[in-house]
Parts: sequence; C-alpha cells; structure tokens
Amino acid sequence: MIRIKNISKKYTLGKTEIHALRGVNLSVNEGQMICVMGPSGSGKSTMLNIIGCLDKPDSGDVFIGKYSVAGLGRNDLAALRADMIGFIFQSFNLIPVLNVYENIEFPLHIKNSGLTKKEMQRRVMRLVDEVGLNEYVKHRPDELSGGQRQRVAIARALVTNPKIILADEPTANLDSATAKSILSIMKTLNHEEKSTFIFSTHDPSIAEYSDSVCRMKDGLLLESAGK
Amino acid sequence: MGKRVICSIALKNILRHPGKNLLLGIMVFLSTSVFLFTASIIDNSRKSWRQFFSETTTGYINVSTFVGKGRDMTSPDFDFPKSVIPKELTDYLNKNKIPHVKRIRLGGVKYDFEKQKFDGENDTCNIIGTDFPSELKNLKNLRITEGAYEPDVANGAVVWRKIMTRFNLKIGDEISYFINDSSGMPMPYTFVITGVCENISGNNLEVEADNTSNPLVFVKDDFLADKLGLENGEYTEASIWPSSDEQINYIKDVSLKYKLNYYFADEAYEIITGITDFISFLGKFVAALIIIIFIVAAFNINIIGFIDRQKEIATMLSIGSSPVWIISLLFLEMIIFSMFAFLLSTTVYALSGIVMHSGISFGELGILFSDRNFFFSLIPQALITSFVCVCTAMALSAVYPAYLTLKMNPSEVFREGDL
Repeated sequence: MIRIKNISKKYTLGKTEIHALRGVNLSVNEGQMICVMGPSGSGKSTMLNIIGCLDKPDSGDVFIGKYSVAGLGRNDLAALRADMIGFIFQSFNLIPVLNVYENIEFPLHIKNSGLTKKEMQRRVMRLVDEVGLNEYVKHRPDELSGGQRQRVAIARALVTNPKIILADEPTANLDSATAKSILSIMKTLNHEEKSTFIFSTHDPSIAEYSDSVCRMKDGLLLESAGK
Repeated sequence: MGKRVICSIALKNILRHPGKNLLLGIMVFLSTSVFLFTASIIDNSRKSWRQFFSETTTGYINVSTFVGKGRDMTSPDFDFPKSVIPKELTDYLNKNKIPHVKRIRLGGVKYDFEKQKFDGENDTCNIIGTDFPSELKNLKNLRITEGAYEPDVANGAVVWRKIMTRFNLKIGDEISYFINDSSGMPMPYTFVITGVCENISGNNLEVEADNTSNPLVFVKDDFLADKLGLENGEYTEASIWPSSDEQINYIKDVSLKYKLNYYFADEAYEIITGITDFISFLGKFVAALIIIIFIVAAFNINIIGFIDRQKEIATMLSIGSSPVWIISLLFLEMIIFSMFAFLLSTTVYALSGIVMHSGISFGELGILFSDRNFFFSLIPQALITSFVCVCTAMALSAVYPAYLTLKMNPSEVFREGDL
C-alpha cells in the first residue's frame, strides 16, 4: 500500500539546519494499523506529512498504491489526498465556521464523490453515530470538548472511505480516558473499514492499539516490530 | 464542489470575522460615499452652470461659425466669421421644432464720439444681433429691468446693466462701437439704448466679475445683418435648446461635418470652465486617492485576516481542497462582501439624499454651483464606476493572500503553529 524509499528531509530554522529524516525506508500493507513512536523532534510528523503528500522529501520517493509522489504536481497531490488519504491532526484542525455535520461532509464535496445529497447524509450520519456524536451534529467546533472534536476529525477523515488514514499524535491534546476511547474508535474503524492507519505518538501505552510499532530517533527509523 | 457549498462557506466566513469586516465595511462605506459625493459635486457644478448660462446667455448648446477663441464668450471675436450656419442645421432645427435663436455675434470696441477716443481698457463687449423677443422666450433667467425692447427703432439696443453703470448711461443715450465688417474693415456703429437687461436670479457673474468682456449688447438681427453684408437670413451663431440626446448628437454631428464650433452652456466662459474643470480634476484626484487608500487598507486588513486563517487554509489543503478552490473561496468572500457593503453604502447615501432633498447651501462656495443649492445625485455612471472600483480594490487586496495560498506548504504552517 505504502512504500517509502530512502527518504531524507532537511529544514532550516534560522541558521540551524535540522535533519528531520535521514534515509528512511518503510513498507506498510493494506489494512495495517501502524504506530510511529519517538520523542519530539524525532521526525514522526515529517514522515507522516511526506506520506500524506503535504510535504516532499529532499531525496528518495514515496509510493502510494501505484503512484510515485515525487512525480506529481500540486493539483494531482490535492486530488490524491482527497481520494486516498484521510488526516487526523493533533490539534483537530476542524473548520471553525462549519458545524459537526458540515465538517464531516466537507471532504465529500471536495472529492466530488458523485453521491446524492441523501447518500451523503446517510454516510455522514452513520459516522456521526459510530463516533457517538448524534447529539452534537449542529454544534460548531468551539462548542465541543477536545475529545468530541477529535471524534469529528476521525469521522471527517473516514467519510470518503480513504485507503490510508494518517493521524499525527491524535491523542496528545486529550486526557488518558478520552485518548483510549479515541483509539478504540480508530481500532474498530480499522477493522470495519479495512483502512490503513498510521498514527504517531510518544506515549508507549497508546502503542498497544497498533499491529506494528516503528521507533524513530533523530530522523532515523530504528526498528519496526510487528505484534 | 457545488456552488452552493462554496457560497455557503464564503458567507459563513464573512460573518465569522465581524471586527475585520466592520473595518473593511467602514472603508467601503467611506470610499463609496466619497466617490459618489465627489461625482455629485462635479455633476452639480456642471449642471448648475449649464442650466444657468442656458437660461441666461448662450442656449443649452451653442453653435457658431467662429474658429479658435470663438468657442469662448469671455473674449469677443473681432474677425467676422468666414462662413455662416449651414442650411442643413437650420432645416433640422426647424423641421424638429427644436427651440433655437439665430444670432449674429461680433466683438465690438466702444468709441466715444464726443471725446473722439476709445473708452480705455474696459471697452470691449459682445454685440449680438438677434430677435430679442425670441431670446427672452428661451433665456428664462434674463429680463429687461429698465426701458423696453423697441422693435420700431431700427438701431435700438438692449444693453447689459454693467455697461450702463460703467459708462454712466441712461435710456435713450447713444452708444457707439467699432465692429469689423465682412471685409475686415472696422466701421463705427451707433445704437440707441432702449432697454437694460440683467439676470433674474443666480450669480450675476457678468455684473460682479471684473471681467470687461462678459457684457452683452443685444441689437436687432436684420439691422446688423444689413450692415455686415449678410443676406437671406444668414446667421453666424445659433443658441439651441434641444430636448433629447438624439438631437444633441445630431447637432454635434452636423457641427463636426461643417467644422463649426459647438459647446455646452457651462463651457461658454473660461472662468466657469476653469471652475468646473478644477472641480472635476479635484474630484477625480480625491476619488483616485480614496481608492488607493482603500486598496492599501483592504490589503492590510486582508493580510491580517489571512494570517489568522492560515491554519484553516492549510487544513483545507490537507484534506484535499485544491489551491484554486481556496483562492476562489477567498475571492468569492471579497466579492460577496463588496456587493453587500456597497449596497449598504449606496442605500445610506441615497437616504441622505432623501433626507436633504431641499439641497445644501454652500454659502460663499455657492459659486461652485452658480449660487444654487447642492443636491445629492446618484449618477448611474458614478455608481457603476464606484462599484467596479470597490470590487476591483477588494479583489486586488485578495491577490496576495491568493498568491500565498498557492505557495503554501501545509506542513510548514502546522509546524510553525506548533512552535
């Protein structure tokens, strides 16, 4: 499903050059739930951003399905993201002017899914139900708790039935009980939807929800261990 | 993505930033109001002077066979014109029953036969040979305030009040002018003053201004035609009061065809043309300035708004929106907002006009409007121009945010947000 071939990435922060990734290789199969672990600054977010086509590596390439990301332009990358990838962010990143229902529905409009209004409604409401937000469909993000916002983000990531869901520290801003509930939802959806999940965390207790754990440090992938 | 969805998001975004949009709204209101007010001043100035001279001396549109300075009634032309008003124009005016008066106009230099000398620097004026009763029918702001028009007196003249005052004349006195005849020879002509004329209302510019060339002497057209050698009702100038743009355009076309001078009433006197042109220039300058200030302010407000929304835009890009779609959203927000703010501003402006329907007196500055009140006018051309300017300014102010969107790397935005 995903193949990362020898990718490297550098950033310049002021006068300092930071090697975020140094020749990382990784393969992820369809339907897997992978946890990327490592301390802050280890390169987890950079790797997820590159897999999610939000950023490009300085060298190496990423293959999503049959596509080589290096050869795609801005609009093609946008289309690839809309078609194949769902994002869950640490700080939720919901669209403030849209309510819960509209936030979840939004990617369907971007994708030009061809669904009728009723079909869209059915799909959105099914996900609203699965993440337990039936009572909050008309609420705007600023009227929700952190856990509720992250549930909306999960539903939004899943609504287009993407093959890949990328979650960058999805539980970092949540208390432990809410974090566990969010991961349970992700795990259930991973089983039900057969989507590939890659999430990053620096919390070892979260890693147990994954099929496989990749450890990173200083831009290097140290090990990849399956369960 | 459907138009309904993008419009709905644009509307919600507009309502989401009340502070920013209030500032922008104030800018739109100020620039629209200044634009419309300025256009109104220009329009009022031209129209009021056009109306004034149309009813006082020149006719709404004046056509003459003079060349060069003949366009301007401030300085009399002393050279007799080489041609007369063509039959085509006369026939058109008669056929369409367009109110008009035929004139023979020439500059005259006053001569004092008793003292055997010219009367100094202030001795020139426009001698107008005309059918004076017809003039009075159309020059509604002109009246005889002393004496009368005497049709039986062949060399009778109705003289402008200022001339009477300046030369200490009275009814029944004779007044002599040297006028060049058709062969260019200066010949003295003596007229008998039978009446004195002046304006009914408005600025008596001819009286108040210290311009010696404004005063007029109206004499009988057939008398002057005979003396100057014009035959068969030929004439050299027409004061016309057309009733439609079609008629004005036809008159203009004929004038151009026969190389005649034509001008509107407000263009008859250099000093007035100077005032109206200056107001027009000043108005356009102010309008341009306010538009530039508006663009700069809107640009800054939008940049601040964009920085505030960077993460939201990065999120949209992340979940698959194309940069083009986001740019469309930014422009759409600007256009919807501009339309709404413009409509509101125009309504407020129009309401001001209704509230002040009797006009505003500009006091000493009343000369800008021929001493008439100023009225708020909604000129369609100005309305369209200001709308286009507001939309263009708003769209331009969204160009840089659009460029930033095109260049945006969402991961950098998220990373900077986390720092």
